[in-house]
Amino acid sequence: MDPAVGVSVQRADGPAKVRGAALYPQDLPLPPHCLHAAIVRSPVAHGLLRGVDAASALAVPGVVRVLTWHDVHGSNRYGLIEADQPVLADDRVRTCADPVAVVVAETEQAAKEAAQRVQVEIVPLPVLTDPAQACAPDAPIIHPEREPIGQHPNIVAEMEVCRGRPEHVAKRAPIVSEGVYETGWVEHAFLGPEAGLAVPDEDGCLTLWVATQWPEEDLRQAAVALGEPLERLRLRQTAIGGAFGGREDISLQILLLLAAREVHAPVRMVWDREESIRGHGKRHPCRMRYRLAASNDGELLALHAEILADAGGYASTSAAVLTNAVTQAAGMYAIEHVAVRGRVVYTNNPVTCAFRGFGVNQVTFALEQQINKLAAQLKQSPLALRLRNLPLAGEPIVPEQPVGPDAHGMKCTLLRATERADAMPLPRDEGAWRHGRGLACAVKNVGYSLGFDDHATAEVVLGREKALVRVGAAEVGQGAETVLAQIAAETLGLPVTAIRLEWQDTCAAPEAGSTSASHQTFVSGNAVRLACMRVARMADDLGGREALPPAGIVARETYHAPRTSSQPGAGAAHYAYSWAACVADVAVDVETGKVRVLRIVEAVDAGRVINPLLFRGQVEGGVVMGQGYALQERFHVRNGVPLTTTLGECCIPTAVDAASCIEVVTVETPDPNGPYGARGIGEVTMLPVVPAITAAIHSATGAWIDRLPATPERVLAACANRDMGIAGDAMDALKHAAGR
Amino acid sequence: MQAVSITVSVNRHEYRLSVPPWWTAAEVLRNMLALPGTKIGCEIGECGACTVLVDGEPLLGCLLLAPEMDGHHILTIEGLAESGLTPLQQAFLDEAAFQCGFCTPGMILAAMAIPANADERAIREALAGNLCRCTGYASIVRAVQAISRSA
Repeated sequence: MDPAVGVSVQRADGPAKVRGAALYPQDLPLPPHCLHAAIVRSPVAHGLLRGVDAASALAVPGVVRVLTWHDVHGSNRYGLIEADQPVLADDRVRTCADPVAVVVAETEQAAKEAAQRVQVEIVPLPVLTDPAQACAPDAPIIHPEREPIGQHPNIVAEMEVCRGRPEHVAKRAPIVSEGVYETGWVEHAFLGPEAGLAVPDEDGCLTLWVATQWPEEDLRQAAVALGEPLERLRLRQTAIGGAFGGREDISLQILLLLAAREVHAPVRMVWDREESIRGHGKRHPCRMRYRLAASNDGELLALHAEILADAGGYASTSAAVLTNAVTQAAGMYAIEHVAVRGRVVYTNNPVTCAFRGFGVNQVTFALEQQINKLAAQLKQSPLALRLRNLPLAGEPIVPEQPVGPDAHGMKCTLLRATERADAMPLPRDEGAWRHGRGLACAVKNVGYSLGFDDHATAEVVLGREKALVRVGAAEVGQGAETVLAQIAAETLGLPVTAIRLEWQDTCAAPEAGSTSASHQTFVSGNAVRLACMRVARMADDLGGREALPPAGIVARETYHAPRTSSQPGAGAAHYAYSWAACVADVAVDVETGKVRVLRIVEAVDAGRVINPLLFRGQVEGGVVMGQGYALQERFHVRNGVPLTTTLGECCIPTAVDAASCIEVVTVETPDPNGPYGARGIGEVTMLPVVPAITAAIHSATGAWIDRLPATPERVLAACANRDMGIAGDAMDALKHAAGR
Repeated sequence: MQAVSITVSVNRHEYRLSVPPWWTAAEVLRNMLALPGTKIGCEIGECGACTVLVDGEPLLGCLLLAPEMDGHHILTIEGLAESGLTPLQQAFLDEAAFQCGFCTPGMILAAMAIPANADERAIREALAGNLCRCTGYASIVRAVQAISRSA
């Protein structure tokens, strides 16, 4: 049998997608008597809700109901880590996206028109927009009913990992390199806006058709919020128009179920782009202060990092994002003396949530920039400085996490990326265009960390010549459906074409956890492999595959990833990693500040590449998303209200902006626990690109850009600061720095 | 406002339709003709997901009003291949030039109008109005180039 793993198998969802036959939630045929819903959102970012007057909305022809929190019945609260977000506002609003009412009508137009006529009476409260001021004594308390967890009720989560005596060591160290870094909100900008359809059956059970990253969790949250038994809810996945973390939180799921339940009819809702941008979370804006102490010859002696992140109005996964940032703030460097402190706080800004990289993007930018600054200060090569400070097998990285022998994968990516990049010289400077090359690397945990029981279940029905694999892993475009089929084919010794995957229905496919944290290939891949191994053994016991009954035989297995410590700084926080290193070549127009990315070389350690074609796509997509984060994507908010309301204003890269030369270098250091050695690589591909680009800008101009994105204005300002002898745009950033 | 009567050819079929004049071509295709392959991503001409071929030229279905369809030949992703797949669709499959697939119908139709001798720069410029958040565009460019080479 030909191998199925390591082969560029054509995507399982490919033929439907190139024919335009893949159905996204907004494409589903409408069931008979389908009604349409529209949301009434808060007009202000913070206030006390005094009343909702639906009289003139109800007068619009075709309007069936206007639902408010009185109709919710359950807890009326949801959230992935803590349920602090109301389905429909009851006593107050905390962001300008908060839903206050839902209009259900016979046509979409009537629903939208009526939504504008709902009168919402709100007594405005002071709007808290600055995370640094969120913990001031006079700051308005955003969740007064919540049990405070720290010094101030607006703290969502705090975390600290310390080792050794960093303060003491830094004072005596010959070299100290410091910086302050700032990153902003970023919009996921997936191409398919949110949409869905909820359909009640005769018994009042509800089926939700939607595109989501974690179907079972959506239903669990909905059940509690609506006071509905979980077994009466079912979710059917459609094709998903991109996710990137932005579909991990609830968007319209609970409101659709609520509407369908209350009007006893199918209800459809489709968000336009403006509502999509307003209605889902963003990447966390962060302010970070870094200090590295080193010996004269470049041994890293101590690291200090302080991280302040803006959660916006609700907790979402902010605590886990902070955990990720804090535990990976020192990257892959073996540093004896470390102190990292992080805090994420409530404001009345847009909610922030999961987004490819999950907190590691921000600290990777700051850390790697600081490492590059240190290399410049020491007049050492950035590669040599990194290689010298990588951990040996068994040596811990922060927090007290020993690395295994596979950690030399980090070194491989650095060596292979620089080797490939150096094979081609930089173009010569021409006119105002200066050229530069920059290096950075990154580590990203795979799967859920800090004591979370990360697991997935798969069920395999094996017939004589084919197999059906049931596993509820959401295909969000990354290729899970194809990759998991390849793992099944390899394990069963069948051609990939003989494997069918069923993942779309919570009533048919067992739970595979969230499609996030680069976890599906690793965790669901292992579950599929275990279930296939078991069913193959069962077939052998029955006398071989030819002897199987026509209906086949069934096996089910649950894979639990290695346990992690629930206490940061006390044992392994993460159970697996992936690594990447990136070399960026840029051209900078020193008269306008414009930066062009000429070439990106990225080496990624995938452990074992299951599908080279899809691997390449993950790397190229991650590189360009990193390029957008580094140079052009922006999201403006004033007084808690987004000023960025269209895709165009988000400035995501176009085909012309994107680096035209992306060279992907494959590194395969098997993970000891990954299926066939595979690691998850969905996120790590994006991480090193950002600091590699800012390092290349420095190489071209001598100026450090410490705030993302590196817009032409900031590049010019940094060049001017450089001429005045100020390092980077740190001076400006210092004014805004976290006052902890 | 009164509905407007139009005659339009969509995917080689003639239709006489009575359309609300404020509807866009994308809405007519999706809601009246049950052709959901034409995606709506922004409704203001920024993303390109609704690209259709009008008399062979790529235009944005969200900016074209329903009455403007009158008398024209429109091709959507569903009508691109009379049977099987076109070479460009096959090239998108071979290169995995899509991930989530939401931009793909518009991207393929926009790419249909790229001349066979276009160089990489010209391909990228021709596709600059079609956003993709997944692929980083490299595989899309390769798919178009594969067609140019084989043409």
